Amino acid sequence: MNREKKKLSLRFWVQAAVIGGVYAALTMALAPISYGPIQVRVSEALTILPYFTPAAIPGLFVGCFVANTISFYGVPDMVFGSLATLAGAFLSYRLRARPWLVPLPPIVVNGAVIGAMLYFVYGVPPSLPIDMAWVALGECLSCCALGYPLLKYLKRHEGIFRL
Amino acid sequence: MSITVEHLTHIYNKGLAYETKAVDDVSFTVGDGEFIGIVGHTGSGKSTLIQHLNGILKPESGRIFVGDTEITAKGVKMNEIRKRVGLVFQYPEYQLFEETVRKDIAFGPRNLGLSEREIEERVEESMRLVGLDFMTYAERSPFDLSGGQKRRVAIAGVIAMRPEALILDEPTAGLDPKAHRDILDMVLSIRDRSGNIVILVSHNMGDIAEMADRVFVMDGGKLLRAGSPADIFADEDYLKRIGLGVPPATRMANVLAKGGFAPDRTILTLDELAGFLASPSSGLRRDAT
Amino acid sequence: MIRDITLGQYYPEYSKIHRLDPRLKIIVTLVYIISLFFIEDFGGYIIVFAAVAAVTALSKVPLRFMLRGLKPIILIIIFTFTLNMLMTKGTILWEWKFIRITEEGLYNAIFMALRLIFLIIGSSLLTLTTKPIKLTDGIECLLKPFKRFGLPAHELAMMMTIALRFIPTLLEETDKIMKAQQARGADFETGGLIRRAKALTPLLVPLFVGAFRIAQELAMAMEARCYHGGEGRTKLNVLKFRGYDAFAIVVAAVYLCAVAAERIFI
Repeated sequence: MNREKKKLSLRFWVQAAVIGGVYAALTMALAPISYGPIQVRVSEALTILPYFTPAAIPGLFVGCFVANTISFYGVPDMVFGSLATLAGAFLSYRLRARPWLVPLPPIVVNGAVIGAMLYFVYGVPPSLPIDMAWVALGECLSCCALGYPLLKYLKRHEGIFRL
Repeated sequence: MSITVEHLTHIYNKGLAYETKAVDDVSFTVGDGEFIGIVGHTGSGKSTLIQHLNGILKPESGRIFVGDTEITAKGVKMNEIRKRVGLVFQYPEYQLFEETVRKDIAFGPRNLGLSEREIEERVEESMRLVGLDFMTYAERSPFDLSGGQKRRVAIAGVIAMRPEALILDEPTAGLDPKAHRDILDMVLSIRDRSGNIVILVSHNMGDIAEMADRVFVMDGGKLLRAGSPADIFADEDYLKRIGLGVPPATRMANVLAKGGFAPDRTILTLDELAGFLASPSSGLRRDAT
Repeated sequence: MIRDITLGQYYPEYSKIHRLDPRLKIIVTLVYIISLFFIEDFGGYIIVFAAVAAVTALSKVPLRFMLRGLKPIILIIIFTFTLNMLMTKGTILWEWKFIRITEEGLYNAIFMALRLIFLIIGSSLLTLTTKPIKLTDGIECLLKPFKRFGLPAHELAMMMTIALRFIPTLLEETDKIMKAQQARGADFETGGLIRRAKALTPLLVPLFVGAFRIAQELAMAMEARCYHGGEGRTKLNVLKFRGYDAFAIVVAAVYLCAVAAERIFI
């Protein structure tokens, strides 16, 4: 019985790790638009994954962190960006009863956290609200325009996410 | 339609410390309806080479002609090329993604902008060609099928584009003997029906010997030799030196030859070998008296 | 296309900086970055510049690699610089129509731009001289004390290690799938955002199927080797503090003192 439980746990973490790998790989593969002020990361579309599996919560966190160690945004992005992704993923998971809500938390959380980071840490003018809005806009493009259609599509293949 | 390659060179990681010439000044012509086998050990450049033939990769230098079109020239539409040259990658079943077999096969034709009726027709046709019964499989999810069946669906997906030339990269990799045989028979029947060019990349010398009109030997990015299977497989030592082998039947015949029982021509298939063993002139028969 | 991307920023070398304990490097980098926010004038930046130059020299990483790191954010730097320059009010230096450049604006612009540059260079030094695996090790070690608060430090490190290990594999898969679908006429490049989203499904579905297949096989392989989590697990390469790690701490302390002194006295 105990071993059954452990088995589930290991599969959970490994699946999470692989989701992280996919996120990082996609960020790198589509690099030109992934890094930059507008941050239209195609991999941000993956933030809808918590809808399918809770393993996506730590998975996206790790993926974001690893992708950032490769980026040149520096340590602050590694820390705040990943934490923002974690929080967003967790909230998305909680909202999964209503699919249309799922893409929203990443937009809000990333907008707030990364916007603040850009303003305070990187000194990007002109003001806090505008920085936040700017990031939120980029997130919106990825999460809604790419993420939501992806969600609808993957729903038909839900089986692949079974642990 | 023929395919001509002139002085094709492809360099990976150009300018970096670990730059490599994956394809080094390769030239050849494949005539209309020819069945070409390409052999070479891993890393010899065969996969890189074939990816140029349908425009997936662009060469560093050199030209490629598909029919009358120079596909390496500027302004050539990729979809035009892909309509004419179909490429089936290794382990093609890993590219399946649709909910049903029929939808997945329809992906290619749909990308070509064909009408729904035309697409439907092609799906049915290609399923027939790969030996999958339409009624049974059309509505099933490709993920529920066996490995061999999945592979057929993937191949059908490419055939549905009705290419004038079909390139297959190790289509029998990872299959059990029966599925292996089935796929090969399928390739042969497709070729017989369409009369189109088929290029088969394989590690299996026996398959190549059986099916190919000509064999290309690649090593280190270079096209070292080209000729009929009988010519190429006659030189076992050379092939061994570059890390390749010969068909099993040929190997056996060579062993017999060393023992003093040489056949008068290169043996390529088991049938030929059996024929040789059974013939009175081999000296191997022991007639019952 | 994808084959040409080198994984991460790590520049292989055998320098003193490369050999420092990763935990130390992480902490020093964090301290360095925080210190940047305490600097109020250009005097402090002279100290920073000296420190960064020294570390760069010791790390034997070619300058162009360092500068390459700035390339992606050059836009942000210019953006920030321009906005700061044009939007700060104060004594006007130069005016043309409605474009007003003030003394304060120029000062601010240069100051903030420099901070940004130093921040990125500092972070780059960390990732250029530390293998991702070592970085992960360092992080796991540093996070261990938080285990008592429920932080799954070991699992996090394991996830990072696995993700890192599989990125090249997944990149190859992505490449293969893209090419296979392109051979069937798929187009990933043209079209508006929504169209491109739809075009991604023939890429993402097989990619996920493949990735989860890998996950299953890996989990089984780990179990088969009696993996049972982080408890009692030993390492092959244990992180140890050595002589010059202590020396590095001293140097870092000196740097901090210099920065503090500069701010207080100058």
